[in-house]
Amino acid sequence: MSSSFQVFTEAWEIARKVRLGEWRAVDVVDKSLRHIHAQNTQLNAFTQITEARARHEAEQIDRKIARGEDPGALAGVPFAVKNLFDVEGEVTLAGSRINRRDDPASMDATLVQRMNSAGAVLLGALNMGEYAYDFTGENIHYGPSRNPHDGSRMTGGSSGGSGAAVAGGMVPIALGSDTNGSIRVPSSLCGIFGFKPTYGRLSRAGTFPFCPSLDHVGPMARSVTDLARVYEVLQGYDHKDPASVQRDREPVISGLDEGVAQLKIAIAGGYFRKQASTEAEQAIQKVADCLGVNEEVEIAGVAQARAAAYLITNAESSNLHLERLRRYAGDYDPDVRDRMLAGTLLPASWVIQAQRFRSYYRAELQKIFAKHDLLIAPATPMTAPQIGQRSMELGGETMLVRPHLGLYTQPFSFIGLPVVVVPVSTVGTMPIGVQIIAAPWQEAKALRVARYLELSGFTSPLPQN
Amino acid sequence: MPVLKPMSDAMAEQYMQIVFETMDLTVDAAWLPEIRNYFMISARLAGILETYPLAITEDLAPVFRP
Repeated sequence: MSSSFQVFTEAWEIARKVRLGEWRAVDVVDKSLRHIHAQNTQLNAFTQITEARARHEAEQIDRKIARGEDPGALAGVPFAVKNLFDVEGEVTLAGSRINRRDDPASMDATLVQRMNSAGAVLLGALNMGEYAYDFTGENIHYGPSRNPHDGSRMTGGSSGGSGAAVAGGMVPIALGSDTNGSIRVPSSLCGIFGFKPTYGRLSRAGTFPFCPSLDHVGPMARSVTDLARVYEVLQGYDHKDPASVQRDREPVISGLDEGVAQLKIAIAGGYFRKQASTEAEQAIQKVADCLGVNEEVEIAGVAQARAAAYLITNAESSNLHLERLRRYAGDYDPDVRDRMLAGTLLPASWVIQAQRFRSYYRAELQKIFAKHDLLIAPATPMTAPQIGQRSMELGGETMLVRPHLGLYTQPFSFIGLPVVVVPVSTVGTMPIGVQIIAAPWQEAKALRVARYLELSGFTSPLPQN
Repeated sequence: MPVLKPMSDAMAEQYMQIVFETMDLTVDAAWLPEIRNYFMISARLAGILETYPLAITEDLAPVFRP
């Protein structure tokens, strides 16, 4: 290859070179696979490398180009998926030991199919917290995924392998899922861009569910352009997902560079200030300064929203897992098992109150979005904790890491809002992310702001080692 | 506003055992302290929710639609 492919090249650049015939997809894939094999011992991002399939897909792309056919918008772009996405012929682990008993998937998840149809090449499945009930990226069965910026620290979770794989240059694109923050937390701790579109926008068909009324899926990448290109490919109604909404595809690339001059943006205050570390406070301030934002709004009932999200998650997941808990309780990660068993104890009244509050809170946010286009808030209250760290101190209160690392993400996914995480990094410190939150179906605005910030220097840092 | 009256260990254990038996769940005694800890987190959060009184007409959102 002339000016050959290097790892950490962005997806759009790979696709451009492959489409032009300057790079061969098989060479991109081979070099990526070598990098994955070299790095995975350290980062533990991949649980399955689909090498034969990847080479076959890459060869198909190269053949299409040789024949003069359109290889797709993501031609030759390597990607990987959190291991709760179905991959034909592979067992969908969802981070568990229990699922090893399951039959291999008979077909790919819808989003895997859409990536393939656009010419992207699947390289494998990625580590995750067991059954997605996790904000740490740790996994008792497969080991923790490790943060490429400091291997002793957490990636965040539950899409921890996705965060490590993208931040470590193994793939430019990973797909994750986000129920309460599982795309946004690892994006924040690993210093990459993460995108959770509106609930119902992207199909979850062929993914292992965690909490159906809160489950979202979305991409993680090292650039906003890559997020936008993948988002355009992934959109579209899917009758196989009962939450999928029939809407026209939303083009976002054409408006990506329109800037932020016409947008009304405010800082989410109150709750989002109370337990933030100095790093999280500084990150918000840097982003606010760049955007010229100084108005702060306080959302009524944020603490209650987070509480309601916690209760609904606990109740729905324990219901989904009831049969597994009956048969295989001893095979769970004890932390996951104990939380799910605790979920079976919840009085119905608590869960109903949470659902009623959800309806109320949605109306409260609609009032705010009638006056503002977007909100900004920290993605995590702190930078990456040490692997194995059980508790943390925030705002003078000691709390468990696993259930609380997502306390800033839960209040937004609770009502399905679209959010883009933008990395904020300072030399010598661990990265941290800021959430750009939009009204339902206004993904384009959130991506526009993220792009503006990226062009202003908020980029994904390269690992130093 | 407390949602759950303070529970003795014995009361908590009795409650858990009744529910688990009703649900046909076999639970090792060694797991009970952690399960109770997680249940108390839920109870505290349910208490936060109840401090925010909702109108009687506030509807349920069984599955969220934006």
